Amino acid sequence: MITLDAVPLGSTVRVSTRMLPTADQRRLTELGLGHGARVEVLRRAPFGGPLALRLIHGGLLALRRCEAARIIVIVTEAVTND
Amino acid sequence: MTEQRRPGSGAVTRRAAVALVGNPNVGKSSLFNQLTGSRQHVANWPGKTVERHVGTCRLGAVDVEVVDLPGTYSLAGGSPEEQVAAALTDADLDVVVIVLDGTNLERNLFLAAEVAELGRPLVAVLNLTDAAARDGLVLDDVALGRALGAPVVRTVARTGLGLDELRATLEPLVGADDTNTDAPGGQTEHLSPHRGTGVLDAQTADAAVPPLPIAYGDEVDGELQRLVARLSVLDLDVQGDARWWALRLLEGNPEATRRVAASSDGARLAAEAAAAAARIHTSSGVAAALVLADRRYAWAHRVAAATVERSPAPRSHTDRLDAVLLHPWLGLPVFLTLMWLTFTLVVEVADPFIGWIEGLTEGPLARIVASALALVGLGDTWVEGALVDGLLPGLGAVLVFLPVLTMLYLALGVLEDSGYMARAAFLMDRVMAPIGLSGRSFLPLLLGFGCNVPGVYATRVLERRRDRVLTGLLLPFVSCAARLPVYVLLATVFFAGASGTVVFAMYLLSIATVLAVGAVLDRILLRDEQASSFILELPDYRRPGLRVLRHYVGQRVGAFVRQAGPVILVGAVGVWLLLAIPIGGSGSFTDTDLDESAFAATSRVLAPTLVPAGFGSTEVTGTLLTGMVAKEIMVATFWQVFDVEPPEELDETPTLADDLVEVGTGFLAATRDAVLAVPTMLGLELHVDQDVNDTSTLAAPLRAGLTASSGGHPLAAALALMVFVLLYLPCFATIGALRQELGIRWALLSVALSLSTAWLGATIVFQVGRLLAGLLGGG
Repeated sequence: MITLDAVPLGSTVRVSTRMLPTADQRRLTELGLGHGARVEVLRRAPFGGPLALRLIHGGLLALRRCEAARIIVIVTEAVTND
Repeated sequence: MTEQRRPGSGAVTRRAAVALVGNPNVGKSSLFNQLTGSRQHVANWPGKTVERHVGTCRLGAVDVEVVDLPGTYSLAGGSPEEQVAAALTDADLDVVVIVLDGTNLERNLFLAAEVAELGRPLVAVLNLTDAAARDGLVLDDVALGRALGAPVVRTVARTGLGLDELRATLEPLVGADDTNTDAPGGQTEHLSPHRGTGVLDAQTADAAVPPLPIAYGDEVDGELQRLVARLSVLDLDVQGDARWWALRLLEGNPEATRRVAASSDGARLAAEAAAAAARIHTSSGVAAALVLADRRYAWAHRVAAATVERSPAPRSHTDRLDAVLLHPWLGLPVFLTLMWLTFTLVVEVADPFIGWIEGLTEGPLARIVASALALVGLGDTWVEGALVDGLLPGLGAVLVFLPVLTMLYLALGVLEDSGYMARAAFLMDRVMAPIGLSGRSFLPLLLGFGCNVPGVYATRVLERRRDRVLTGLLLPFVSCAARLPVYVLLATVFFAGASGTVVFAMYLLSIATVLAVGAVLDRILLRDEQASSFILELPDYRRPGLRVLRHYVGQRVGAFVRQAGPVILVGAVGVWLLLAIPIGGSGSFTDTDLDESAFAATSRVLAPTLVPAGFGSTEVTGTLLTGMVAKEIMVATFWQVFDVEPPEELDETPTLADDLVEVGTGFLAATRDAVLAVPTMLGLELHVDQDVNDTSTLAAPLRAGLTASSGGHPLAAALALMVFVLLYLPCFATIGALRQELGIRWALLSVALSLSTAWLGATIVFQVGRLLAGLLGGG
């Protein structure tokens, strides 16, 4: 268990608990970050900007780090050095 | 569907309505253009600034009205979801077409579930099937059709592939197949095998494909059943499936609640729904809206799992491009280069066309109008004055924006449709966040340094209305190039030796004001519309469709002429009227001395309000008034009001024609100067206009004028005046643009906001400057 913002780049995680207001959680769900969604953390924007995530079932999303810090995830595939 | 008997003909014309709905970036606009061709128009939703794209297409003997709804991820939120939901529950709608992105089916199915639950005749379009194949995806449209209970048509909207099948699928649904009640051609049958089949069929089908309706769990389904039973006995003024409304009520959707509560006995039902939602919240521990969303998400996930087969694909071109464009070090230089290119394209490439339009309205057109009026005996009358000096320059001022805006919308269309704009927002998010804006606001604000007008129109790329309003209100504080000649004139006259530094300081002040006002507005004015979570889709990179671009540019430029054009025209004619109407004195209409005109009278009335800022003279006030037409006209006006001895008295003939011709040329100069504005801003080079540089004759009266109005502190007054010019009223064209994009209320608020900010800023600068001068014992 770790928050999404702390996941090393390149890892794949599963979304567990989202500690965000209802409207924001709904929005996340609509865009594919529902409970149980699997995502790969791709990159971070400069100056502490948003995270870029790849949904394993298709699509790229960007999410601010402060919001990512309130999403608890389970790492399913740790970063591989290839 | 409505039937109308044409008077006299005896023939029956049938009309039907089809709505296109889908996520953003799924190729909905391409599909719309393919279906309707050029038979389309744009209007606003009643009472909203959200646009409504409507076109027509002929299917058999039926004229079908096609509505392209704004892209949305769900039907539950505020704008634009609200408009989409309202359009989908419209009584006159015959068929709903849900457009799905084949490369991204799971997320698209969330909206599809909400739409399918409406229970209206539905067709699913599986678009971008070429891109899906490239990504190594095999899509089972048979299973998808079973899940949605709707026929599925595979398309590549950009090339028109599958459009014939879509038309053939729509025909029976809009009643266009009367002459041929048998099943249409075999090919269509093959491509959409589930036409007319629905939920019943799905229940006997593959268990892996969960059919509609979505099971929300025993408790929710129980509450839903109770609400549906109550809804169906009430005489509600709402359309669509009762279950759909029950779902919206449980979600606490404000619009649905309002609609139901407005019906007779609906208020009690709305209260019951709220109680049911509270029960679900208590027993499940999460809000009812979330319970529903998670169930819908789970359904979409299962359907996607049953319909999408993945095979390993090579690294996509989006990944390869992102590796560079979102690279920690390379991304920003590429971003800045692209923004610079856009800026150059908008202000520089359009320039020669502007000169051409300018020459046309000033020279040949003016002469033609004048000689035509002479022919009918109206030469040299007020009619000629009104047309040649008032209306024509105003018309020119509208026309010169057409090349600028064509370039702007071309650039915006390419940046948006290619998928880059979302990356720009990603890269710049951290930079723009402190003033409550997303990274997308960077481009509109940058364009503002050239000219505020394209900047305001560029706010269209912002997704949230709140961001559009905030950026639109900040743009008038961005120092456009038209203000530069005024700074240069004042700086050269009053701060010789340090003029470059003073002008540069104006640009720094402009940026500081944007940051400060932005932070204040974000916290006070727009607090209720506080930014919710920033979550942004980064769509796959795609080649922009030329057809869509062409339509987009044409529609946007046309909308400018219709909506902002009148504001500019009225402004130009209004200033002309002020100059033409005599107040007292011996002049007659259009033949009056400047100091006896309504213009001078207005200036005299307003001048005292500017005394605290040190420049409350009739001359400066009048100059500021003309600056509303276009800011750099002020330079020409300064010459007119000061360049005669003694400076207090004005020229007897105010060269009305020259002044009003400036209305047009001013915009030309503004855009030309735009190119020079940014190097100046960066401190690389200071462009000083030739005739502005030659201030020898203007300097003395200007200095004397400000010395008199400031009580002996001309430097403080000059600095205050520059600050005022930077911050005060947006020009008429900007006001027109704000009205078009945000509505009249926000445009008026912008006027009030900039006027008060300017007065406050200038007064502070003058009073502090006067105090400092007093302390230092100087002037």
